Amino acid sequence: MLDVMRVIFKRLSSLAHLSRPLALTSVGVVLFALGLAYFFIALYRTVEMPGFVYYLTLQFLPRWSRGILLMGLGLATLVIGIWQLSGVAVIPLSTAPTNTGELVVGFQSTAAPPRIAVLSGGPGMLILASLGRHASSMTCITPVQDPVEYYYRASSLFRFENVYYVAPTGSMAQVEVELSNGQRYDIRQGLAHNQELAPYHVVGMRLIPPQTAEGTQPLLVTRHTLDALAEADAIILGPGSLFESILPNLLIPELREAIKASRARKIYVCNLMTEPGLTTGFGVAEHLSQIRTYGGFSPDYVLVNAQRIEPEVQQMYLAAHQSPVYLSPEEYEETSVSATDRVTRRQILVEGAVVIEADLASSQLQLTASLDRPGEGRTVRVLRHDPDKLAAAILEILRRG
Amino acid sequence: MNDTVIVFEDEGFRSFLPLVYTRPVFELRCGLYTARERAAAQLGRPVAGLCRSHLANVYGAGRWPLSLLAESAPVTFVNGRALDMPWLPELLNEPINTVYVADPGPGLLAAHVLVGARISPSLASAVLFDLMHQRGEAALIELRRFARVVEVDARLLNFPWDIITNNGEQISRDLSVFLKQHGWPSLAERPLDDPHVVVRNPSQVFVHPDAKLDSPIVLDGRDGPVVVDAAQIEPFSFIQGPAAIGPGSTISRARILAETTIGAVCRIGGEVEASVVQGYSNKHHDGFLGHSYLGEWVNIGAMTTNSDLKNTYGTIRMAIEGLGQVDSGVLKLGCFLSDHVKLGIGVHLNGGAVIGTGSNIFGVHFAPKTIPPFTWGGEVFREYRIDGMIDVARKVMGRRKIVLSQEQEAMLREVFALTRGSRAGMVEPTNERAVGGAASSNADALARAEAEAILAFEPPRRV
Repeated sequence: MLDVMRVIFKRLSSLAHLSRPLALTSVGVVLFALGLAYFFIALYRTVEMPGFVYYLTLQFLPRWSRGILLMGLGLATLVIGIWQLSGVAVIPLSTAPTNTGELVVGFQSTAAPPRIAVLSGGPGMLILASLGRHASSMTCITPVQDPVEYYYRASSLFRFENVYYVAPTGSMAQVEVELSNGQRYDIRQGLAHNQELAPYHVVGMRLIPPQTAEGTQPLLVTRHTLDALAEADAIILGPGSLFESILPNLLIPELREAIKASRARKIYVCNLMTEPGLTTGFGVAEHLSQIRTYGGFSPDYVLVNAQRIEPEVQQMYLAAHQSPVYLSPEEYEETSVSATDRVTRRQILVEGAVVIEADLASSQLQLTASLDRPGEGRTVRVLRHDPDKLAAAILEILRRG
Repeated sequence: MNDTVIVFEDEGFRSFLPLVYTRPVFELRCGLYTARERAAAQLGRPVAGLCRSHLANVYGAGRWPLSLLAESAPVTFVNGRALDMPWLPELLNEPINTVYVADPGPGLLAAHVLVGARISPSLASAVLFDLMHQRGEAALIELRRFARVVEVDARLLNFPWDIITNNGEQISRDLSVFLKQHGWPSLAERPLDDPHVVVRNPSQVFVHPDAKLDSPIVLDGRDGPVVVDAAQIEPFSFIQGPAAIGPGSTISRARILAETTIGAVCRIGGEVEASVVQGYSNKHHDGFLGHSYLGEWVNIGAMTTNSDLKNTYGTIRMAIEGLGQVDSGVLKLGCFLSDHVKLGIGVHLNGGAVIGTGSNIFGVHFAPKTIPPFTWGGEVFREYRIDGMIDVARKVMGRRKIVLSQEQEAMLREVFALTRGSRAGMVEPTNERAVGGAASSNADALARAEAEAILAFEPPRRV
């Protein structure tokens, strides 16, 4: 009962600013009703009325009773009307401009939808594509070693809108990595699927520009890529393989400089699991240090999954030399006070990036099969970034301003 | 693997407004084909279209046409304003990342215009966004950084009157591709049996085997080819080449003079000279149509006539949206009627008259030279209510067994909203008494401001 009263009070108090116009309206209605009553009385006394008017005007009741009855009915109607009115969103217009929107006639517009640039691989871009609905533009810069048409093919199947894919350079380039076993490999060789390489990780990488009859071609970055980075409100690195999807583009000097020069917030979506043969043994700090090494900058934010992983799923990943990427206890001690947010708070900083821990993943059933034994497919439970959770986390970062 | 071939619109589409509010530039007929049909005829396979977003669901690959770059084959872009394309087969044989540019034409400021490009999907992804937004110049600047640029001789449509002035020659130029595509023999190789079908220079007259020629008629190929598709030519008709009659059309006791193209499923009577009828339009009765362009689903009432020559023999000026009145530089120019325009009986039109999409003009002796899209009336003009216009369009199309699709209806409604500013100052469609009132003047001021804002947002680049 108390709760109901509180709701009633809260809703009615939201109409406090309407009390004066409502009172004025009430006075007007009363005066009009009085005038109407005089008119009816004059009509009643001068014109002979048909019989049903006797019942319609409740003349079988004493005048006091009639008055009380009508006042009660009027009061009840008034209460219902005000109750319904309080349920309608009546927002007092503020004349003071805010940092999230500008004052326009009748309503306040929200902040303009953000422009987003993404550096990721195929699966990562598909996961992030739903973010396009909340953005004014979303440009996905594909890895320099990948054919861009693969991305167009996949996205046209899903009929994404407002998501544009652009190759960073006019032609593809080869990316070579050196593993901790001292061997060099082309990144497109699928190192993560090679069981023999699973214990190792990448210790170096380089870009090999395309060779033509005229010699080595310089890697010019496409204007659309540079514009997207310069105009973006957020540059999202990932989700995706660190060495296959994110770092290759950072090896292009012009693109790297464009990211560093951009005023956009740089958000790194850290991997849920390490990748065998690529990031074996890496924690959040190691992932970030690779971005700093090859990109020359630290992201402003790093999104780390904080969801507890089911033991059976974890066991399966461990068997494949993969482990969850969590913050280490030492990293929790590295904190700073942030003044950028609306509310000043202590935040965890790793390699210069503010750590946002959130529930970002969901486990999915996935059918796996190999080309060697196509008939032996099996269903396994795998962990993937959840598109909705990830989009919500990124939008929250952007909303904070 | 075959190249993915895409015809695109560049900045030049603006010079063709209001004709191209409801169709991309590459769907304007000139000669025997539209640009898209011409490219497809040359290649022997369909080609994709990249156009303004409100047209994309009807004529293109959707509002967000990512499927265009889904193949690993090279991507070949073709400018949708191109006339004949002898350079297209050469372009398809060029190494990847080759760009063809051409002189934009007399009186235009740009140094070069992008006419075609054969590029890798990677490079295509770098310019697709520009071309989706008709920014051909920006795309060319980007392509110059990565690709080999070759200057070629290419003819482009720059202004609406180019459709008229090029039509005759274009019919002749398109003929070889057309005959290769269809394989019809000339009447010299396959003479007609009917002696009352008078054929002048039969080696230049080509008639579809299913065409119905009801004699007496005259087909005159002395000045250029006459191409008659599976059409019906009624008695007492005269067709002078170069001229083309599209499939399903009916020529009723008409004089079709040189340099005329009649598209598919039209009904044409009276005198027609040096004009282009896009298709599905009627000018069934007497009256003169000269040096004019008619869009689709146009109907012209009996005795409606246009002027195509000034008494002063001066050049004819024509209104182009965003540019104002522009001197065409030609002595003979008729009217330009956009898609779905309806003209009543006995309407007279000035040379250079332009009537916007969907307008319904009647009860007036001399129509104004420029009439905005979706205008209704004659003595008094008012905005044509879109629901009424769409009802009429549905009926008209239904008579030709064609259903107005949801996409087409949505496009018409979008064009209606897009062009609302151009109808500022007209009588309100529903309440004539409101004219002159405060509410009306406020609405007019708002509409004018909206029109000015639209023009200011996209300033014209050509003069």
